[in-house]
Amino acid sequence: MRKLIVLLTIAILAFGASPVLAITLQNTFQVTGHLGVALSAGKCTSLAYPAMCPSADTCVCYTATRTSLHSATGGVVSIPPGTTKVAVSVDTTDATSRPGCRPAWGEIQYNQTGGGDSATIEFFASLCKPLTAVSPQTFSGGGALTNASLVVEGLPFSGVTGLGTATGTYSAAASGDNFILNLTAVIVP
Amino acid sequence: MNKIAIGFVVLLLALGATQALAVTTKVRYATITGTASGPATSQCSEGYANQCPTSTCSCVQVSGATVGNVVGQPSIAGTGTANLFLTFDDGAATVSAAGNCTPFFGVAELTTTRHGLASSETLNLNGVSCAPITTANSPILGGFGISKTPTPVNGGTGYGRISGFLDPSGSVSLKLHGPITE
Repeated sequence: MRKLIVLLTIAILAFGASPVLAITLQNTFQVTGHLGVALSAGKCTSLAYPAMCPSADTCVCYTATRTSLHSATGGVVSIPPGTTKVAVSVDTTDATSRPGCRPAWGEIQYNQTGGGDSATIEFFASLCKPLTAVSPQTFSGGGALTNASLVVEGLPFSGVTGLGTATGTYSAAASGDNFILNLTAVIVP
Repeated sequence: MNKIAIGFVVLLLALGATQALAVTTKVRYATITGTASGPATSQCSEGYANQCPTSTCSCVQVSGATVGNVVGQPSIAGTGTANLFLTFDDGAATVSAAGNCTPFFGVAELTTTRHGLASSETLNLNGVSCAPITTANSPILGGFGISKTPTPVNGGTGYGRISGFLDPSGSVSLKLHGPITE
């Protein structure tokens, strides 16, 4: 079984950034773009991993659904157009301090439009308040590509898994780039 | 003339004291390095580390860790020692054939000397530790905040990010930075 160190473009695109992609074949990818999310009270319940936000705590749910994945190709992984759903439960009770960093349980699901490609990513991150007065929120975490059917270097694979770490920033700005993701990952086709 | 001189000295001392006590917020840094224990098969019992969302957790301790500074950067806590307690939520690990990423909740109990004064403060931590990705080390990423309880002694307030790693021999190296008011 061969390990390919790639930029997990799935996650990048799955996060729904309208991408100004800067993709290379190095270990780390960076994606910038605009990520629009919806916020609701209570933890996310539609996907399994975000539902882990403790019931005894106050959680909020951030969701996003994007279909603009046609540009999500790069490196050795091909991502055809499809629909990506993102759900992140943030535990507002259990911050490290106030202000501080809050634990977040997230999941990304991608399904190809009119095809069989798919991917599921589960991740845990610490979502911190801005480090300076003029900077956005930051997140630091990691997770796994738990199951995917993808085209890698032109060949279709099923049962693809992997893991990676991510850092980035996010702001609630209504326009312009409000999302930066730096991702380092290993996948196993 | 003597009264003028004395008054001037008092004024200078007062100004100096004011400056020494001035509270400022700036991005400050710290390092914590030490050797981790083997995991115990239950959550840690210390403060913020005493939580296990899935009820399947393990506890890793780093006793007598070294707290240090980052050269050229303002310091969070000065220098000294720390005891770390990290509860890994194994039930929430994200699983892949390449390895897992496991969330953790922890505390770092710092006993340091800062600006010549004894200091103690507790940091609450959360984040994730993953199987090795690009090196033989397991990366650690997350966030921290200075806990209000126990009340810091000669400590600050604030929060920030954590980055670091656990190497195959059990050595832990963490770097913290964030806006700290002190």
